[in-house]
Amino acid sequence: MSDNNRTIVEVQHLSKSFGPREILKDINFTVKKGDVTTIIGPSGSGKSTLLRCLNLLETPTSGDILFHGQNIEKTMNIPAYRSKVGMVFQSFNLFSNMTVLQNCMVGQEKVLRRDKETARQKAMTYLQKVGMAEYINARPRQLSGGQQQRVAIARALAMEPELLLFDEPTSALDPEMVGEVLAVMQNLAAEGMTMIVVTHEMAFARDVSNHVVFMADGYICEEGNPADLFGNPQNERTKDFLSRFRQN
Amino acid sequence: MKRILGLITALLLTTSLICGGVTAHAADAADALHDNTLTVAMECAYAPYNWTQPDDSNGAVPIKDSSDYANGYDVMMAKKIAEELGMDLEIVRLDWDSLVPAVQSGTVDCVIAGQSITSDRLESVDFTAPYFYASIVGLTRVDSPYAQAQGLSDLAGATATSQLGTIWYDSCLPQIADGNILTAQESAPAMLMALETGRVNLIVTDIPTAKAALNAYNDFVLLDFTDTDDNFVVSSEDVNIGISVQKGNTQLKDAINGVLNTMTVDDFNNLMDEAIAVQPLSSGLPQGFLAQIGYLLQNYGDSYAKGAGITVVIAVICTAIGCLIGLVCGIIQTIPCEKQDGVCKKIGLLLARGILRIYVEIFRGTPMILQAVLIFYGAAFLFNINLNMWSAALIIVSVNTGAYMAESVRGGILSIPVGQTEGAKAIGMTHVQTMTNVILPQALRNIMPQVGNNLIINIKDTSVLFIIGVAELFSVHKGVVGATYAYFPSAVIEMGIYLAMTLICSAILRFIERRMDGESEYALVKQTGGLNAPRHTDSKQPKTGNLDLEMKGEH
Ligand SMILES: Nc1ncnc2c1ncn2[C@@H]1O[C@H](COP(=O)(O)OP(=O)(O)OP(=O)(O)O)[C@@H](O)[C@H]1O
Ligand SMILES: [Mg+2]
Repeated sequence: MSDNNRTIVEVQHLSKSFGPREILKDINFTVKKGDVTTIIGPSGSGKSTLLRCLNLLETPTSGDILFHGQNIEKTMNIPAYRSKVGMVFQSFNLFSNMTVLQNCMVGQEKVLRRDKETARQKAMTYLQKVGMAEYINARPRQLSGGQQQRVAIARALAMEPELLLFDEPTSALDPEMVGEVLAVMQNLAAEGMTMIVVTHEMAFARDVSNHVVFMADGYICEEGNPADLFGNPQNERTKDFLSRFRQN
Repeated sequence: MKRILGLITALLLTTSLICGGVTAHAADAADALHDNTLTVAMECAYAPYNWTQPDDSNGAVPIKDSSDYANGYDVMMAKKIAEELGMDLEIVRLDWDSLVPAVQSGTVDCVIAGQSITSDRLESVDFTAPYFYASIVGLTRVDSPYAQAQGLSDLAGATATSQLGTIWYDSCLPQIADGNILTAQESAPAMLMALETGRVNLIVTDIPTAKAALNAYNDFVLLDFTDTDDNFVVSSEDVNIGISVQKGNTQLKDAINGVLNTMTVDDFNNLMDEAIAVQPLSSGLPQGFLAQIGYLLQNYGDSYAKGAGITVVIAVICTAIGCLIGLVCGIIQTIPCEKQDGVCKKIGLLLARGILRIYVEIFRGTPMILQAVLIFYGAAFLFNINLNMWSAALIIVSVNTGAYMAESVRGGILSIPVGQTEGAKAIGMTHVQTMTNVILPQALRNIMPQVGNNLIINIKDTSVLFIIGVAELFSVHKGVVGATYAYFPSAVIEMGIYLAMTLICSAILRFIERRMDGESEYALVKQTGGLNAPRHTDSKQPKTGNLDLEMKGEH
């Protein structure tokens, strides 16, 4: 996507256990500016857990996450770090006590300390980008799932993060709404947004991302560019997983 | 003569024994003679000994912290004593069960309230010489088979009752051969109602109560067997009515005895007849239920209105303060404690939660009426702190509401889906920002029904504050009924007022809830031209088809 080689995030020997169960095992990977990385893999393989470790919604058990070379757990203020790494959830998680506009402004005002007018203008810009500018006065419960997810993307974008994490953003949507959200994401990718996307949408992984990570049982089994990974998978588990997908 | 020592007195006594030294404050009460005001407690709801009236007619004395006046035999006697001793008189209205603790703790100088001099009471307080001798009599209706009874033996087989915790009930009723004794009534007016409505054929009481009742109910007949052999057998302890002072306060006791010594039994009886003659409704209640309600509203309307006002003000203020307390507790209870937090924070949080837990369990787990007594009299008794009645009332109700709201708020916070917190954290909000911007607004909306519940409960439960003398709505009822015996009409009036207050409060709260929910519909804001945007409602989800989303690439 971009030939800028600046590394944004580097994950080193990350592992995560819940009690005695080790969910993530020795995860290593790098995300460069402009990368669109998709993470695929069977259910329960630890994809969400990895994404949640990346913005510290889960605390890693061991290993390091470096953001521009800085260890986020040891040297960075966690809220400040999170404001630079946006996250879009499967279940949208829009603030139900606020309107669409307020959802997109509150973080800018409270966390980034932008003044109201600036926050409003930015919010409108990004709402326009996701096609939700007309709905600024609506409350989340008054919107369809696809609309909510687009607002959630605008909310994350309004913080102008360096990296955007998506955890299965279309899994909770009715099929007819999947397209509108994927289109927004595809737009972002085209504009050079750095993204890590956990998804079951193989078409998106193949056509939009420039790097695919396949996870199983808490390990990264295989990674590479989409053409190689989908066209010529090396690992048995990858082959197995992809073949099951093709049948469906 | 009336109820025996209340549970509350026992409780206080136990406390005092544990803490040692019952007479610690005798010296303070002796100050009564020096500060030159004689503070006298009575129920103001026990005609003809004492009652509440709306004006100062017939020499009535203002009641402290109230716009009402007290009158009756006790007031007349108190005036005489204060006059002879050259002191100013102050009348304090207290519930019957609070009279002993009040004099014990030194909150008042003495109690003149138709108390009989029993050995039980003598263990807690000192009594003067009797200031009245109240012989035991029966009351029945003209149409009852006992109307002609000449002696106790003629009452055999009667269906009878009397007042709870009195020797009338405990030792006189069992002397009726084959008597059908029903459950005791909570007050003298209630006992009279039982006779009037025909639930019993006979009640046993003392002569002043009976004479006053004859005035209010003209179909009642007095059965007085005094000076015959066929009479109730009672000890002098049961008929001697005395004035109680704090234990060891011989100075005040001797001074009062000095005044009583100048009076004869005939003087006592004449004064009592005088009291009965000026008792409200001494000419009888008007006939007919509606007429009686009208009479009460006309004569006591102001008292009811003031009582209702006090009730609402206490309930609203205390619900507000209680919600704040609950909010603070609930927030502290839900502060997350994570592995990486410092030791100080962890210990602090644990300690705070432990204390809050104890607070919640104690105040939720015990009756407010006991808390009221313990806080109000306990403070005076144990620590010599004389709490103002109003501050005590506000503290008690607020702290109680807080204990309930703490759990509601905690539940309200926990009920917010974890996704809301994660959404807030993911855009970089701190815990405080997450709470104030996202979680609490939603939690507060969710607990609004609980706030409403608490407000309504408080409107009703402030009624227990009569125990410390707060003139709220229910105490007005007690006062009116104690003076007029119009038990049933007054109860109906009170029901109406309470219901009106709670209905209005519910309506206001529901209005607030709707405001918090925001608009149920929203207008689309057209970005390019196009006025008159269509309005969408909740049920009609706007379709996405008309969006000009640029789709690059196909799926
Ligand atoms: N808080 C938790 N406590 C205990 N176990 C957990 C917790 N969160 C996740 N797990 C476990 O970790 C494993 C990986 O979960 P994760 O949600 O990361 O899987 P996933 O790859 O995202 O699956 P899916 O595709 O179904 O979303 C699962 O077995 C899950 O049960
Ligand atoms: Mg997942």
